[in-house]
Amino acid sequence: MKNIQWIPKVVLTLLLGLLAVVMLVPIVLTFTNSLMTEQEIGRNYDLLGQMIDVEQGGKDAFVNLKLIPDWLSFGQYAEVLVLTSKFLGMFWNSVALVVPIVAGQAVVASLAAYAFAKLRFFGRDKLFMLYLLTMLMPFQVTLVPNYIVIDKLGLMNHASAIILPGIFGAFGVFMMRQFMAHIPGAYSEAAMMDGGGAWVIFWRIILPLAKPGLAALAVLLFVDYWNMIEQPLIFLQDAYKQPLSLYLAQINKEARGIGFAASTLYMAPMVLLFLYAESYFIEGIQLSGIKG
Amino acid sequence: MRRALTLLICCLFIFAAGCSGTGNKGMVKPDAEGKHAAGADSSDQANKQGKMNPNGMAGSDGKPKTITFSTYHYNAYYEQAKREYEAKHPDITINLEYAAKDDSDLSGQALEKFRQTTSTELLTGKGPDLIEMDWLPADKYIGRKLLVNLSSMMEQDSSFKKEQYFQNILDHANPDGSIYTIPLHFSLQALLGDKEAIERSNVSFNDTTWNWNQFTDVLKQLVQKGDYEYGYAYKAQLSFIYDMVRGNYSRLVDAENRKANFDNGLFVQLLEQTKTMEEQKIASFNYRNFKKSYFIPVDINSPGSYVSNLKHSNFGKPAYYLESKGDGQQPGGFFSTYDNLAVNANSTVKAEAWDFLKFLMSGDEELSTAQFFPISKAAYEKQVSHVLKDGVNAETGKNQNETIRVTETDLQGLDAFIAKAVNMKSDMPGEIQKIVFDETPAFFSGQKSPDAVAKLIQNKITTYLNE
Amino acid sequence: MNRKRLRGWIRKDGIKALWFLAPSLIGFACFYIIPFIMGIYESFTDGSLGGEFVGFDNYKEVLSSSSFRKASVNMLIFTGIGVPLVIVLSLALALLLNRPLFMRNWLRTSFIMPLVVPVASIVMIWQILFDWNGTLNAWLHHFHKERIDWMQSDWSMGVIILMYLWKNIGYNMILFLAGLQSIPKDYYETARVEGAGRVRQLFHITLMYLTPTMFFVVLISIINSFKVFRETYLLAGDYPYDRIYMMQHYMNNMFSSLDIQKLTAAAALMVGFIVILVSGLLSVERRFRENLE
Repeated sequence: MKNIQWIPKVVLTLLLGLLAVVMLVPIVLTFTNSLMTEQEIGRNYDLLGQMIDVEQGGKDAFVNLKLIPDWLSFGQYAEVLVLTSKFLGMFWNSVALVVPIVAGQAVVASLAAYAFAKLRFFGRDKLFMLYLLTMLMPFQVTLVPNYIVIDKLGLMNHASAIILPGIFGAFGVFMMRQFMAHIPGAYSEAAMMDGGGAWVIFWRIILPLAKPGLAALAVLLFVDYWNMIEQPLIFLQDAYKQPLSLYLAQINKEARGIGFAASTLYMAPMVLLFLYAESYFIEGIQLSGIKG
Repeated sequence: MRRALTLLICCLFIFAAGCSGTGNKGMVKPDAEGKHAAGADSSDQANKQGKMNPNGMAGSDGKPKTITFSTYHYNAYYEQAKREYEAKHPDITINLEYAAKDDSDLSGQALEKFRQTTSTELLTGKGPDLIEMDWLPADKYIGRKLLVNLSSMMEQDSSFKKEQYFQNILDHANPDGSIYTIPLHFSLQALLGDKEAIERSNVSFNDTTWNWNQFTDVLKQLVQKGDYEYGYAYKAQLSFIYDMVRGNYSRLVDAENRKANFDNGLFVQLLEQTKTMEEQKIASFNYRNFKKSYFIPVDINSPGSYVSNLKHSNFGKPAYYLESKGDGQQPGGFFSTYDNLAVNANSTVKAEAWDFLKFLMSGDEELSTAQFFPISKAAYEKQVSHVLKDGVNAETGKNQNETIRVTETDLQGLDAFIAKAVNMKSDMPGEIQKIVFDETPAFFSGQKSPDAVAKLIQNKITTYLNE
Repeated sequence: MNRKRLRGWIRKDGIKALWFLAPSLIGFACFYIIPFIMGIYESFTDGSLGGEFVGFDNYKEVLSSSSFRKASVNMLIFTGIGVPLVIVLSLALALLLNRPLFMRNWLRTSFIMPLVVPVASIVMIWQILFDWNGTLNAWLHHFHKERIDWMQSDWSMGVIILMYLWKNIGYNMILFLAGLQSIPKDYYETARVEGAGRVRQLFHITLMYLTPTMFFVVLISIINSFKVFRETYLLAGDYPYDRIYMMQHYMNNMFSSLDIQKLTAAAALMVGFIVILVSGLLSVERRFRENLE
């Protein structure tokens, strides 16, 4: 009996493993290609987007997708980090934009989410619906009005033009409300019986229980805002304020050769953040296990 | 353990980035991207000059004003003009903003930013006062009434004499009849043909009025006479496609009814015709055959090139001919414009901006030394006198570094030729042009059939027309 | 709980709620609601800067545009196929990864990795795969088949859905995992003791308690399906093949032609449609929640 039991486990692991490999292929590719010399990248991918003459033998020409570099070289990284002086500066810009947004939204959203999830008040659901709606708007719709608002507030060309709207985004409210919503009402009722006010319930009970939600929120927000392009393009006019996302978009068109290294470096913080946040997921399990 | 490691790496990153970050943050590098204001030092110069010269400035009230002048590329002429103008008008400061220096914007991101920012600013009622429209959708701005109608400004301004400028260029650069953008420079596009061989062939045509079909007919007839192998040598396949589509525009695109007609067989026929044209040697797409064709395309950029095109051709007796007209185009020649400037309809300094624009238009010395024809006739005369004095450098051919002497007779036909220019060279809507240019190379390289290409183009242009 | 106490609670909650909501509301109103309303207002005016009220003219124009209708249909197809697919797949993955497996942590991490790849790199890799000269065509050629222009044929919808799935399975998986882990283990214990089989446990406990998360994931997946526009735009430009011409392309092109009025009218229509959808979902969710508490 015991022998048979672990067979499904192995099969499952293998299947999932295969799927995981497929998922990882683009990332692995980016990383290994970042170790190639620029010439090799050129040789391999020059044909992208070109229409070659069939008569001149074009029918058999293809892009060469290589997993393993011919020559191992850190040239790309050298080029990106050292020779192109903008990179580290832009990296810092990105960090300076995204960290306040993530931290800020986590705080502001948790507060509001508690109200939506646990408190009852007039027009609660309708207001929540309003929050939802704004998430559905693509940026072109609110671009011109946003521009006017930010201009009136005098925030043009300043980091707050991006940070402030980020802190008050609806996504966090939405997400945390969902997580707080299915924390059974019994907990808050019990605390209230013991004389705890709404704030105490929020701080001592709901928030700790929502930790997995917060961890997920932090990761997702980070990824979203690390990648933003439209807002910095319009609201930040000076070159030295630009975040890394803009640089990457440029590089992949201009200098494909160093694009892979730039991408790898760009991805690194998110990978690290995720690995870090993952432990909170695990903590979440332990906590929900203790809960009686 | 893992947590400590990631924390350490994070700190390292932030530390490293912070070190270089603070280095960059303080400076405003006049580098490739971002907005650059080149106006800081001008007021000092103006003060040093001291003299006030209020003449020619409509409605000035002595209060210090700033004109924001926004362009895509940096242009040294603008910088120079700005300095001179500020010297003459001490209470005016000109803020020069540009998005990219030279050709540094390979990825097009600075252009994208320039376009989006300018559009957004103008839509909110703000934005620069004077704008370079070369890379912006002027027709859309005009449609939204975002640009000043300069024709009325011209009429009201008694000091502006339209005859001092090339009126046909000014008028025809703006499709509606009213002038919204003013080109500071222009060039002419024409055909260079072997006059002798053509007259000998006895093929008659009227190059002022001929359309695309008549043109290809003439080429067919000429080739049969045998003096040259080919009728016409195109610079690139895409220029042929452009001419072909433009030449048959009304049959391919029905803008009023929002219908595209690329699937009715005409386009496929035209595409296949390119192959036959090359086989029948009516037209060649290889620039190496320039020497073997009756006609070749030329650009006339200046009085000098007017002469050098003729002197350098291998034709015995070369002459200029006008290109074939597309649907709806007027009999005459073709021109292209550069440095098209317009004034923001919501600008608070319209009069001052108009004054500076006039100043830019009349910059005799600077305009005349640029590489294209200037819009001002005075600057043009200067160009002519320069070239009469200094000759023109041979740009191609065996006498590459020699200077050719230019005489009055050489330039005799030029004035009339310029006056004949009445059609803008690229006046097909940009989106349609882009769609056609994106899809047709697949046909030329043999990768896709003409039907497949036509179907794709039909698809996309229908989408565009129906938006 | 008698009536008087209940009423007292409700009144108390109102003011308390305000304190919690205040920071978010103020910022949200400033940066989202006000621009949103301004945007919608624009859709009722004509193009001139003064903004004359023209009622529903813009809406009529938009609805009669065949490109708008094409974009709507494509959007519905894409969302209709993509969202259910991604939810089923990511839920299955989350359930599987929530049990003891070998290398579970590594597996989990690798599914989430696609989130981390920046759009620009994804686009490059996708181009390498699906370009006319790309790797997929190279394989086809190897097997002596015709090249397919992936992005310019009806296959393009498949490519976009694939991109969407690849990126969002991980996204949704995080959410489902967090949701799954918030279900107290003792519910399962109790069920097992009472003799409920695995399947029953799945339906009656997991899905039940996952409902708030599910609602969230559905909505977020829909929102993320809009985000796929960025990759599509980078791969195929302003006017892609018919099948993948989506609402955002329409809106983007409206913005390029400076036709803000039609842009906001189209957006309002789209949002209106989603409001109906979401209200439906919300009421279902509310019913489930009331069963919980």
